[in-house]
Amino acid sequence: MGAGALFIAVFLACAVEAVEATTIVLAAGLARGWRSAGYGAVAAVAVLAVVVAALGPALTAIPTNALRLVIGTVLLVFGVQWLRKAVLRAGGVTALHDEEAIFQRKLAAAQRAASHRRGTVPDWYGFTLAFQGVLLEGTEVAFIVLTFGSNQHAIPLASAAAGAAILVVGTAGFAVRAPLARVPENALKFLVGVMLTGFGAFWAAEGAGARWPGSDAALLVLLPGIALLGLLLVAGLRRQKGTRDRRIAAASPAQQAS
Amino acid sequence: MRRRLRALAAFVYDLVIGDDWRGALGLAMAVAVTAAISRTTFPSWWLLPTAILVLLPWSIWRTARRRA
Repeated sequence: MGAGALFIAVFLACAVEAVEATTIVLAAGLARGWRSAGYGAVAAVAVLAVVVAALGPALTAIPTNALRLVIGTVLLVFGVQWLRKAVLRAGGVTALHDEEAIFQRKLAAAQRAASHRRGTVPDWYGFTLAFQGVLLEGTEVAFIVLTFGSNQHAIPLASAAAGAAILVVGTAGFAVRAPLARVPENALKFLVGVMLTGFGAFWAAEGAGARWPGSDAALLVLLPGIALLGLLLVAGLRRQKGTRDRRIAAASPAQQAS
Repeated sequence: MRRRLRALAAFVYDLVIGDDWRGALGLAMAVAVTAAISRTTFPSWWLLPTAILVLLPWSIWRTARRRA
């Protein structure tokens, strides 16, 4: 896996999580004031940076094959879960992630809560809302940075990709002062799910002692293959949903008539 | 302390495994079988792509059926 591919994979994965974190920070900032929300967001990023800095060197010290086996397996399970959720959303089985609705819910809750100062933080509710939001969404960012970075012995590059994603998404969100609802979040999640699943399977198999035909070039078949499987599953779910909806629509007038 | 550790374990479980432990177990078993086959002279690279090909549609089918 080249440095460019590592950067793109981590950047995209982290951008998705950054969109969700930005929605929460924006709601906290608009409802409770930017200073407290900013403190909360910065504190959470600092906690995550410490976690990556502490675990990164420890992970890279583990022998490559053992690391690939463990990290690859975890990444594979995690990636299949992401892909599964993206397919279910795209296929209409579960609701799409609606940033605008989440933003309005968080904003309304933040506007109702009482205010109190704690230390140098003017509004403790705004601080904790932003802190928890960034920390929760950021845990997945830290996980992706650690898994991709340690496998390739490139944690600084993976951290830079995550930092760039947070900067780009955070700046865009702050500039428009509104949730980034136009970002095709589910399409990005599908893409990231494909990458996590593909790289997870590749590394887990290598760690288990398998030899891929064509070595790294196997990824050029594995990743499109997983994407194709996902797209076929989405098409199947949509067709099934269409058939069911038509059946319900056909049954309704008959029920009304009787 | 015990409550916090339990909450952390629940968070990690939800982060990595989510709501389909059967799929996660199937994938972990596929990795274990890959490791076992790799000790022989047979090729083992095909097992994980095959596991994804089987387990992902199976997991989605079960969820779709449950929610229909």
